[in-house]
Formats: sequence, structure tokens, C-alpha cells
Amino acid sequence: MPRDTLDVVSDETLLVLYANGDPAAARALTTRLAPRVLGYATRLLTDRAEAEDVTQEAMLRLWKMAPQWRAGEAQISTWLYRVATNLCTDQKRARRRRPAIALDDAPEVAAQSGSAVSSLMQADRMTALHRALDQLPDRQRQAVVLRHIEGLANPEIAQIMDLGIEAVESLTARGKRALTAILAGRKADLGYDDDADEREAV
Amino acid sequence: MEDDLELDALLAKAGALPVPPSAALTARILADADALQPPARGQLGALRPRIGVLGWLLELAEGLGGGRAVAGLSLAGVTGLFLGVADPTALQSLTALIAGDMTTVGQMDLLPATDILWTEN
Repeated sequence: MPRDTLDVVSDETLLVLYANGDPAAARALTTRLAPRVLGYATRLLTDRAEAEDVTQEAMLRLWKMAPQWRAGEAQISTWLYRVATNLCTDQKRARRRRPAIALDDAPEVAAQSGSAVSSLMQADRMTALHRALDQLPDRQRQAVVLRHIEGLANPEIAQIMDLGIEAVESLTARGKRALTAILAGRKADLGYDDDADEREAV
Repeated sequence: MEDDLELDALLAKAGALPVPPSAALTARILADADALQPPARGQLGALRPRIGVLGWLLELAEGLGGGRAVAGLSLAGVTGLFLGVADPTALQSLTALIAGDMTTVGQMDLLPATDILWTEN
């Protein structure tokens, strides 16, 4: 199937094409899904190398499962987030059994345009956010990342986390409160006081 | 960080920042995909003409599960036809053998009336 046609078909159709031997389907699925899994895993693990391993393993399971995929039963992205969540949980458990590692591996994100100062401020804020996220209990962190960073709806998060929707709402709310409390002490460091001053001046 | 608005904005900015996979990771993922990809649908597919009776037959054979499945179905059909047409004497001899009537063993004729298969009317 031509590549530009693959760009508009659903994930499920691509997976069927892959299972039927279409060589271009795997690349299209990888381009579409791997960045999402990698971003999610990086935010949960705060370690790029571990997140890459999780991404490769999650995609590997997708390839293995492709011939048995039952159409209409679930969204592929939901299934993949669920696999990635479980793999990250396993990775964290394994990490606890190993000596502690330094938390210097905040997610590497693509460079954004803007002045050097604002870019640095932005980078500081992101690092602070990821460190704060890392202090949350696992389930709260998963719920907050899925809802507010990955932008998923609560019913989809409930499927991924195997919870009820109310439980997801509760986890998200508690996670945000905890994040606010953790980041409150760093407000001045992160330039939020300057922002408030600028808003008042305007 | 006094209100949710600032946190929401920070989280939204984090979500907007892409985390692109490295070329090495993409290569690893695609190598796995290549190694695990099932072969293109059926060997018959490459030979299948786009139109015509042969194309239709190959499509049907593939739909039934390939060459082996078609061979099995053909054998089962021929066997069923034989059992339906053949004289039951042979089976009587067989059942007698199983039931213990050993006197008919020497006379068992496995194709006692095959001539009816080629008798012309």
C-alpha cells in the first residue's frame, strides 16, 4: 500500500496489514505509536535508556500479538499504553532492588524556539515537574501523566489502569494536589514570581 | 505554584514537547517487526492471476486454508464417495473380523463390486 495512503488509515487497519505481510505497515505504526509510548515511559521512569527498552518491548509485544488481534475489542493505543504501564511498573520494581541511580535523566525533549533565558527557564520548569512527578506514588503519577500530559480521557485511562472512572478521577486529583504542594516550594526558583510581577505590571 | 492553572499550563507544555525516538531505537523496533512479521498472505498470492477461473480457484483454495487443506478435503470427499457407492460386503467382512467370525477372513474382498463404477448404461 502506498505510504501516503498508510498515513490516513487507522492503527487497527495498519496492524492487519502488518499481519498480512505488508512491509510498510510496521514503519507507519512505529512512526505513529513509538513516540507516544516513549514519551509516556520517559515521564514515568525519568530514565531515557529504561524508557527506550520499555518502548522496544511494548512494540515487540504488539508485533507478536498482531496475528491474534481481535478487531473492535480495544484501541491499539490503549492496549499499548497498558502494556507500557505494566512494563514501567516492573522496571521500577527492578530498580528498587538495584542501587539508587541519580535523577539526572529528565526526559530529552525536542528543542523549542524562544529566547535563551526563556528556554532555560522552560527547561528548569520541566526538570522540576519531572522530579515532582517522580515523587508521586506510581498510580497517581500514571493517572496524572495519562490525563494531563498524554491528554487521554478518563474512560480510556480507566481501561489502561484497570480501574473505575471514579478511581481515576480521585487519583488524578490527589496527584495534582501533591504536585502543587511539591512545586510550591520552588515557585521563586522557577520564575513564577517574576511571571506574577509581569502580569501585575500589565 | 498557588493555583491549578499554573500547574495545568506546565503539564500542557510538557505534553506539547515531543519525545522523539532516536534513529537507533527506531531501527531496533523495525528489526523486531521485520523478524516477527508473518509472511505475505499465502504463497499462492504471488501466483494468483488477477482475473479468470484459475484466479478464482486459487482464491478459494487460499480461503479454505491452502494446498494441504484442499488435499485433505479432496481425500475426504473421494473416501466418502467410495463408502457410499461400494458394496457393503467388504464392511460386513470387516465387522465379522472384529466381532470374531474368523471363517470369513480368507474370503474378504476389499473391492467386491468395483466394476459398477465403470459399468456403462
